[in-house]
Amino acid sequence: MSTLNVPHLARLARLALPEERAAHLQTQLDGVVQYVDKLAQANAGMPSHDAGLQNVVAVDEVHHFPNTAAILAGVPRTANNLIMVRAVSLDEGASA
Amino acid sequence: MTYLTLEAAAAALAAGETTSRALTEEALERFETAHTALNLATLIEREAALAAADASDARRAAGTIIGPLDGIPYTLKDIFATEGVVTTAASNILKPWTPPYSATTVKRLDASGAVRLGKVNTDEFTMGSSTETSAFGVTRNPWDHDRVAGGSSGGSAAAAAVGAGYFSIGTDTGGSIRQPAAYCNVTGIKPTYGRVSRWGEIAMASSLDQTGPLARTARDCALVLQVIAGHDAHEATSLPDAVPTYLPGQATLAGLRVGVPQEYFGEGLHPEVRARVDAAIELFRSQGAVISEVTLPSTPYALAVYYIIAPAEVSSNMARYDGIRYGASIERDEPGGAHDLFETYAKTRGAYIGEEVQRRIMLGTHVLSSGYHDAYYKKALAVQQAVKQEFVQAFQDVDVLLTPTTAGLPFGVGEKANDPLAMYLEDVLTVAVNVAGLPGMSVPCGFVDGLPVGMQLIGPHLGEAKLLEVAAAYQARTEHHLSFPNI
Repeated sequence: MSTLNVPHLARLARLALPEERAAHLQTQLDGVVQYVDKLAQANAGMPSHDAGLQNVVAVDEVHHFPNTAAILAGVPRTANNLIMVRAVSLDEGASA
Repeated sequence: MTYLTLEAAAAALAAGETTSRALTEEALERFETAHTALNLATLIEREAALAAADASDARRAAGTIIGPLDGIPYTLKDIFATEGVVTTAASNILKPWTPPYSATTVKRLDASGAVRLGKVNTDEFTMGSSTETSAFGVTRNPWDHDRVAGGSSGGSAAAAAVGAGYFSIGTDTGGSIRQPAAYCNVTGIKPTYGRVSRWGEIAMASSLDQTGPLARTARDCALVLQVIAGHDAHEATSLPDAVPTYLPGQATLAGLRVGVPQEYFGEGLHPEVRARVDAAIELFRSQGAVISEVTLPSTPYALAVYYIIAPAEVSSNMARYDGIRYGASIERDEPGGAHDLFETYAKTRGAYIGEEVQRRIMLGTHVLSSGYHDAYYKKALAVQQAVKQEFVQAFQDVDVLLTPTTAGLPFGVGEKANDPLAMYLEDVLTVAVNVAGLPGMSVPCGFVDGLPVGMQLIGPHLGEAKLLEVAAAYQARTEHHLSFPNI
């Protein structure tokens, strides 16, 4: 049985969790992982690549959206018709 | 005047016995009354619905009626993008979102002349089996208000059950149309994966999600599926196959080959649920159907497969809710609350995404992470192939499979809310159909102590027409589906 490293997973998943909730999730997720571990008993080989799947490629076309204003209306931070994003890291001297 | 079925309401409209406005006013009244009692709506669009009804009546007067859904009121699970109308997925993170486009299913229903009464409740981002994870609170079962309506399409099932519209549009990723249909005594069909476009349907698990109708009868479901099924160039997994005529004729059950997979009748099945399903099997036999036992040995692993593949896709699909482009954001609500990009993401997602969705994101992140990918995700894909092959094999000898839809009766509000594994086990009899991408239906087959029971019919790839025909033939010989709850 595997035990989850909840703080590590929360960081990977970009989730800020209060300690209390993280502890709660630890218990619940361990139970779920214990359940799905039963798959190890299933008798099945690795998936083949000829399972009837095919690539579907969309036509590569440029579309102009007439409703830019409606789209930007839902954006939390905008400036000059652009989406504002905070710096990836302030340590690198970028400003927000 | 109340019409029980969509088909009867459409016939009354065609005969000039009623108007779309009259049907819509009556359905709105039931929708509003039921919402007060059951909490089934996330949005009631009274004015827009009445305007659409008047437009339909004008088309009818001008002789330009579009088809059988023209003027028919319905409700929409709050998981589809609707241009200019708020779409929430029952999540706090989307409560402020007004989509700039409409889903293909919504466009097709708009083009059919159907009248949308409003939007109905779902588990948050469809993740749940009871609507208890909804940011709007639980939808209660119309047959017993202390019990859940099921989920995730619990709002749809409750609305269809009480006559708040003549059908509802739901979605099904692991049983989310069929389980609530069973719990609310309505008929629901999850079509073959790719039969109905997912474009504009807010994604949970993209390789499993599928849209379908819930209504009083199989024939009503057929009329709706006829409108929403078909290829969509916007959606890469949309099937290009031609759409057949779904409305069945007078079907006979004589000679129908019905398979009964024993794995669905094992430990944990409520004895009274089993008795109702056994009675349905006997009815099929008495009408000349050939009943045979079949075996689907990978069935016990299907739920584990699902709870690896689905969360893996959830963790990817939910990454778009980052507080940057749309929806709720710490940037809007707490200016200065985040000092770099990571904090914008993490604080927004921590604050506005509900606990069950967070749980699945974490689980999906785990099964895809380095060191676990092969043991979980790749193994799940391998077992998924085995599940598919077993169904293909079974359908060489039978036309449909018949099982219970759920192992038990509608459960109490709060009974499983703090036990995710118990909630996940709610999908144990429905989930293999999604894992295999097949069509499945839930059809009312009786009551236990006033609570409804559903049987599940499973068909082969693109076997919707056969399923609907079989279900309609069963409903022509029974009256379980005509029982109506008092609100």
